[in-house]
Amino acid sequence: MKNRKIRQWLGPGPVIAVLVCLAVAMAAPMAVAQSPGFNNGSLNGSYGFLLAKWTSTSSENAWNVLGVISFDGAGNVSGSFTENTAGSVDTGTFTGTYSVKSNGTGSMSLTISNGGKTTLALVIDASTKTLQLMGTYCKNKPCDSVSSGTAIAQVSKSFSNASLKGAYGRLANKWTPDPKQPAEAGVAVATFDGAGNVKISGTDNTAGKVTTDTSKGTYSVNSDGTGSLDVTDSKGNEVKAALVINSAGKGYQVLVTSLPCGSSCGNMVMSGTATHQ
Amino acid sequence: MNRSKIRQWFAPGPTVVAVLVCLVVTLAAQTAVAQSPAFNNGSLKGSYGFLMAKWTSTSSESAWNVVGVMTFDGAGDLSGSFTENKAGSVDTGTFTGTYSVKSNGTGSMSFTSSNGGNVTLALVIDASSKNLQLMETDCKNKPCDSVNSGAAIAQVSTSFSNASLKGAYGWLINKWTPDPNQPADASVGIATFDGAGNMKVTGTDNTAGTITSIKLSGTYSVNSDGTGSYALTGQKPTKTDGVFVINAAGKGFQFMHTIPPCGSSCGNAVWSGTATHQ
Repeated sequence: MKNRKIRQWLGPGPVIAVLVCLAVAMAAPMAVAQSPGFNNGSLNGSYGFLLAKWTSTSSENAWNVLGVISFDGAGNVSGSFTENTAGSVDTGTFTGTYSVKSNGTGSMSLTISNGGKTTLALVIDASTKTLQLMGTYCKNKPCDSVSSGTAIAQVSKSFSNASLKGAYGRLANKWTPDPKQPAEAGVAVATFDGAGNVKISGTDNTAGKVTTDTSKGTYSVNSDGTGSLDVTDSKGNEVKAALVINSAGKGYQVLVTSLPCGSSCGNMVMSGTATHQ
Repeated sequence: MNRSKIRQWFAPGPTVVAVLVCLVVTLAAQTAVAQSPAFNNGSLKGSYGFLMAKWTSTSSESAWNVVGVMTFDGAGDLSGSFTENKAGSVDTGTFTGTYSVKSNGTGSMSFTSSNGGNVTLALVIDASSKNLQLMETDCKNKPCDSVNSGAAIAQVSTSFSNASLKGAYGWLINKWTPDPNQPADASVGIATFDGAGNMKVTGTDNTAGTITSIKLSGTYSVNSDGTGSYALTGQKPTKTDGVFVINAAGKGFQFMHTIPPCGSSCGNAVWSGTATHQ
């Protein structure tokens, strides 16, 4: 009688519930272990991107490009960019197509407003909403350089000066194939007030000479998350840069467009990334 | 009478006070979000995987990458281990030292490595202390022809195993070389780990404009501190070995070839990159 009661209590209802629970528990880790199947629909929305040219050939122009690239989820892509080619800065737009394989790799072909064409290989990192990008276009082989970089989802659809607020840790590096150029990098904290004013405190290392300084100035954010900043340090040196916001304001990529050395800066460009503290 | 009632309704009764308190708390919370937190040595506590590279265009300088783990105790002391590749010459070591964090999240660290070297780095904390941007600031004989910089990412977990890497990771690797005779090279692809020591790699390589497909398979091993190594073979390239360090509890890793595809004939070049779970 007692056993019967226990069997009734443990009847098919609770047993089924336990089995369902176990099945769900076992399925969950499998789902985590397996990566999702990707397709063109996996890329839908806008990404801020920063690419750099990797070269050790001194006759090659140092080059960085920064911008926004928008995927429509159906194989079409468009965007805008600011590029710095050894100190010569220009802007443009591009349109094209993309294709994503089920393993998350893919490619895109772009036609640029200056008449140029380029192709890129890509891989999706879904957990960080990031794309790793590598240029695959080369007209006259062997080419003396390879471009690569990252694109990070913007998440938000509309931005303003208020999208940058608070302190951001930033690392910037100088890209140059010219052996006469001093190596240079800088780490800093950039503090934005959300209303167009910015203050940057940092440490710079130029060929081993380490200096600290604070710059102040203004910034402006466009509705697509691109923007610009213009700061002047305590010695009166003015630096201008283009930027693109990602992760709904949690970070940005930055490309220097003007330095105090002006046209005498030579064959170099500077760029970096920043993340909200 | 009506006026009295109106005054009573507008009087600071319990409901009104509660609403005001709620508003003040909400505004204070929003202000707290807008302002960055004050940092101190306690902001750095735990282990971070790091990858640094030498930035130089001087061909006589040796290309250099380093991968490792650094552990902060939250009180100004740090220690760690590393694997470095100097133009193809690979060695490992440990380091101990001190660090200091300012209230704005910038700081510095000085350490002595087991090979006798003294290193000083400037740092800046971001991502709620989960990420550090690093730049070396020591230079014995100025002007130095290079600057080292990179990033350290919190490991989050305190113990790792082969099971810490499971599933597919998207990766990008770049060749670092100041040698103008070296062809430029980068690759993107997928690395798939089975959580039990076996891995497969597929990808696309661009060497001086020549695009080839990568297909490798082999084994990997994860140490308890999140560092590890891989050994891969395939048709093209035939062999590639490397080391890595896991970060973000297995959501990503930083890696560096120790035996690149070109083997011992690679010259003055090193390869390193990052990978993130898909």
